Amino acid sequence: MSQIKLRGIHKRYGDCISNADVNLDVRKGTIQGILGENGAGKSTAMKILYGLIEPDGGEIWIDGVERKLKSPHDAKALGIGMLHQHFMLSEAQNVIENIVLGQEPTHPALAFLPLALRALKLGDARSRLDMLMREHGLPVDLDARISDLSVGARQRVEILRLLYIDARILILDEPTAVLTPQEVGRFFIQLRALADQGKTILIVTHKLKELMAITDSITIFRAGKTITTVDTKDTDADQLAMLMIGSRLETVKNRHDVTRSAELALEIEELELNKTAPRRCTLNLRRGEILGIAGVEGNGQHELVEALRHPSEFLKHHKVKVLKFMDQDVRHWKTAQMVETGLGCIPADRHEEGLLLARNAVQNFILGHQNQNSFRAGPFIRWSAVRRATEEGMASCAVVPKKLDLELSRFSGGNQQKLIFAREIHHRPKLLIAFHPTRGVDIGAINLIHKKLLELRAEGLAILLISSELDEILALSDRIAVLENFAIAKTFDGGACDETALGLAMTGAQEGGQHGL
Amino acid sequence: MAFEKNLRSLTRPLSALILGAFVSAILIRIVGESPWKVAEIFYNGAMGSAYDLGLSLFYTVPLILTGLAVSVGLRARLFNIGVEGQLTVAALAAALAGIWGPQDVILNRVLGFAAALLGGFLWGAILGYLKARRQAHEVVAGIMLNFIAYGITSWLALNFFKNPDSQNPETIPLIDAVRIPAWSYFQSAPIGWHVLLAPLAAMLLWGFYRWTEAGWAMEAVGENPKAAREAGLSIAQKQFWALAMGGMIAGIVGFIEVYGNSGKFIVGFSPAYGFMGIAVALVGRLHPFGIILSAALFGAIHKGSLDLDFETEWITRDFAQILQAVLILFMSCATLVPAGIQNRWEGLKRRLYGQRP
Amino acid sequence: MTRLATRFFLVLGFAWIFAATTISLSAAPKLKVGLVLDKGGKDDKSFNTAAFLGMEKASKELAIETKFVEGTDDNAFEPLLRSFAKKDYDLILAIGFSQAEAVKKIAAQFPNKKFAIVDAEVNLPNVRSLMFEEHQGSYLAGALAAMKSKSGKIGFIGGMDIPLIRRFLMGYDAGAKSINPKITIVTNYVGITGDAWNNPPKAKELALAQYQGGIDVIYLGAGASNMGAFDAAEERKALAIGCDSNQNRIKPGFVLSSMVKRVDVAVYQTIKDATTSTFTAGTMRFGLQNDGVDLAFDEFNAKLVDAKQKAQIAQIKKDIISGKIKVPDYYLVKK
Repeated sequence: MSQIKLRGIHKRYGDCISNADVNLDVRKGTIQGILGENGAGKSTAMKILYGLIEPDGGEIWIDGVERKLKSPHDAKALGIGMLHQHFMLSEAQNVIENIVLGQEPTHPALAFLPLALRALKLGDARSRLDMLMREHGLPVDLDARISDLSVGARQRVEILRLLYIDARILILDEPTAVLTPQEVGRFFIQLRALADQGKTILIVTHKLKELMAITDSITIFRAGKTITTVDTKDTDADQLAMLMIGSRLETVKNRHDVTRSAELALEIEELELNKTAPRRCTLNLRRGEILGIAGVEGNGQHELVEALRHPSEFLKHHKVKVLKFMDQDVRHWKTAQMVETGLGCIPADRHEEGLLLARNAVQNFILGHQNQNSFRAGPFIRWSAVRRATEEGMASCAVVPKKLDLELSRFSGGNQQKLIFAREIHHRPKLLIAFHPTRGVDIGAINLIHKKLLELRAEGLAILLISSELDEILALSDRIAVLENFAIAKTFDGGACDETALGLAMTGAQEGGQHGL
Repeated sequence: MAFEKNLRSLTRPLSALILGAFVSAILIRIVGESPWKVAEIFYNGAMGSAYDLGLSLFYTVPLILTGLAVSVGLRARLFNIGVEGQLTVAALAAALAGIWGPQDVILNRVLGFAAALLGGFLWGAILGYLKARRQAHEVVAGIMLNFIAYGITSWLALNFFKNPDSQNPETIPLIDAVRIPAWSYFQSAPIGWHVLLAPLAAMLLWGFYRWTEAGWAMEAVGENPKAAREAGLSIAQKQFWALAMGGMIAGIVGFIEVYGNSGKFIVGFSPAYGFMGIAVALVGRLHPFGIILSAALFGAIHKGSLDLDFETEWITRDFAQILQAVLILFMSCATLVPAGIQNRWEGLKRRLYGQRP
Repeated sequence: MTRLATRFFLVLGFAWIFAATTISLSAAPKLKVGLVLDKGGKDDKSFNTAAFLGMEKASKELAIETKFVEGTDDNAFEPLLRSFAKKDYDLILAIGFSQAEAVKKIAAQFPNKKFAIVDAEVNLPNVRSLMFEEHQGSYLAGALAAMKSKSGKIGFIGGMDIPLIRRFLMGYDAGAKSINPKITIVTNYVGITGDAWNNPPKAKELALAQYQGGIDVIYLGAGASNMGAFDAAEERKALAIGCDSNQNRIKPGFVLSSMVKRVDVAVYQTIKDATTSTFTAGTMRFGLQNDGVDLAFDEFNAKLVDAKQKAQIAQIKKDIISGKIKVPDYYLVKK
């Protein structure tokens, strides 16, 4: 019998149908994947199951009883816990305080006081957590501050929190988005152990490989509906991709058939990315070339982008020997000057750095290009021109829905990303920084962005591709540089390199190689 | 679509107002008056005659301007609590310009207006500089600048320009000719063409945000500073201008007070216009035209409550202030109050259109 | 359940709120008197309280109907005065100089109504200006302070630096020097805005500082702020002189005396004149000669002032009334 049963769930927001007909069966003690493109309704369905959203209609059965979930509180009472895509941890507090947050154990005699005034009694919680950690192989230092923990450890804290409240059903929303390949491996072993002990696990993701590796069965969402559920052992990634987008996809690959120009778009010599690092970063980039930057998060990727985006600010505190963009010394340049000279950038975090979520597409399309002559008439903005440009941009990158006046937050993640992409290439930049260009984006959008990147490179655009997805870097790059400890550890030719070699260079295992290019 | 959106942004403050009125009614009944009677007094007090309407307007106009001033800050995600100080400095500047300036009517008024704008701008610019370049918190700096503005203007007014014939702490008056004559329609209420400055400012501001790059950029900085930085906008610069511009708008209050009302600078002339502006801006949803509506409401409530003391036996001045505060409190919480009402509205709409998926 | 209860109470609330209230009807027409108090309000235990008490007394003894209101800000006086004038009020009393301009404007608009204003002169045929000779009373206060001071240093705390308070100070200064020509007088003001009249903590601070500096008597002219200074006097076991109302009872043993300004007498007198049709416009002065100002001696300060000192004060008072002593008046000196 199914432990979770959803029947005919539907939910709409205004004109936008989020869930049309969702049916789901999950057996106890299994790991079930929830697959679908961004905006296919999988997140909404999971939020409904967690009580965050009330459906307009449909039935939810848990353990054979029909339930109405009005709030996460109801869901928790039934043993349903959710691990959110973005961690919900308080950075300033330590692990144990974060775990007991919401059900702080206090002395019963103090129950009449407001929570903030009661002294915490953490002894019992500590011994229970010790037991849980041993039982499930989830080691964490309970007294460490969250801000001192690695991403993988934070994830373990989140899972411990769910176990601490006796969750039997775990909903995991894109749990691997922030993990390194090694951490993903460890994480999956832990998940499997949990399932073996009788926990039921729902994993929401769009990463086919991972689903194939960990799940027992997979339910596919498309356009707000559940299309089908397949057993993992009976399927493969190609079939899943086809089910997900409704058609077969050609894979995009750099065929290394374009001759690069000799003209340098970017020249960096001895750039200090971190004051304490022993080495400095040296690299260059030609026009019509894609340079992939591989590396574990935190090895200088953000600093490199900062230095290129905001040279005058960054170089106030860091040294550099040469920093040239299109043959001009840009060491004292401001952001606006860089942008106007032809620097485009797809930021790592589109919500934080790339968009005005409460504004419409047109208002977002001018961001960064507010000084473009074609958009301006003296102090005024020529909104009609911006509208036309937005329309063109949305068409060229297939942004849907093609509504210029729709608030950006109403677009799916993939479409938001495509809009940023369209904006950054609209004014024909000379150099494009693509920083995690496909993070949290569905396959259709990934495909489109990859295809466009190759097209633009053929037209002479220089592209700095920084990504944690090795597949992406391997598929697109003409050259690959590995960033390790704030310097280029090794460079490879795009055609002659594989994941293992890259992985070794990323962890600093191999010494030597060329420094710089 | 747009109409429905506007309607919805109105339903919230209105339902809050009704709820506030309900609570007030209970309070009124407790002290032993009839809420009906009080409502009538309120209405008559606010707009029962041309004179009463004039006085409601008299309180409304400065509130529109301070509301706009605060909104300019809030749109750039800055809490401009220094509006009170800005309008005080502006009023003194206007009065001094009026006293010293050429006694030609037009020239004197132009000079007074310019001085008010400059005074408000200057005081806002100091706050802007402290925030943008010295990383001072704008609330702390704003409060301190209010004190300083108060102290400096009082000291200047009372030590150098004091009216020797008056017991009041005020400067010597402007000559009568340069003061703006009141329209006879409002009987003797001090309402002349100067009140048009407020809606004019609202309109200009509306256009500023809608059509200019500077307006768009100031809002972008407020909405997502990181994205704005990536777009090459200088956050510090926009913050500076948001506070300085707010000061300039607040400065118009100083001009109106000096040229349109008292004809001189009176120490402490403002019954906290600057602080009420914060509530006005929030209730008006930071939209220039919303601010006009909310200021009108606040102005009417202020004037209406004035008459309660006069017209009733049990409602004293202090109680009238409680009622006023209750209404403002409810309206300021407009975002919290009617979640239920919002849901009903959605439900009603669905029933009307029969759109069930 | 809770929803039902909420609804029930809502309905009940509505019913109660809108239940008819009984309206009492008034009898035969009487003289109607309106009183507009200053921002300090009815309970400032000083100036406004005195005015209110004067009207209370009149309404008990005379066949009149009364009504009072309190101003909220400087712009509120005009509409309040106007409301009284537009209704059937016959006599409208404005308390405090802040209302001078409003009275000037409204009295001109309603020439058939009678107006009176305290502490300011408005020259209109239907306005009576009630002026007090504060300098005379202050002269007595200065003399008494000088008699009691052992250190030869006395203080003065005024609300705000305005002509009225200068007048207090000038009389006080002259009175003190008439007893001890070498006496030192230290002066402080509470503030620079209307708040100064209503800021007891600040007044207390100033008083403590003055006592600390060796001053043993302080004359207070700061409205409701006086209260703070009285606290300081009690803390330091020193003396203070109040003003406006009789404040001797506030801290018995520490309030040396009060320079009373009989606003109540003036208000009562004006109302009475209006009932007997002897109301006259123009300025009416209240000084020592007609008990408009005086030093208060009662059981609360009996132990502080001995018979000799009392007699001396009485003599000075007599000399001022007879004109033998000329008390400098800031209003005249200034001109």
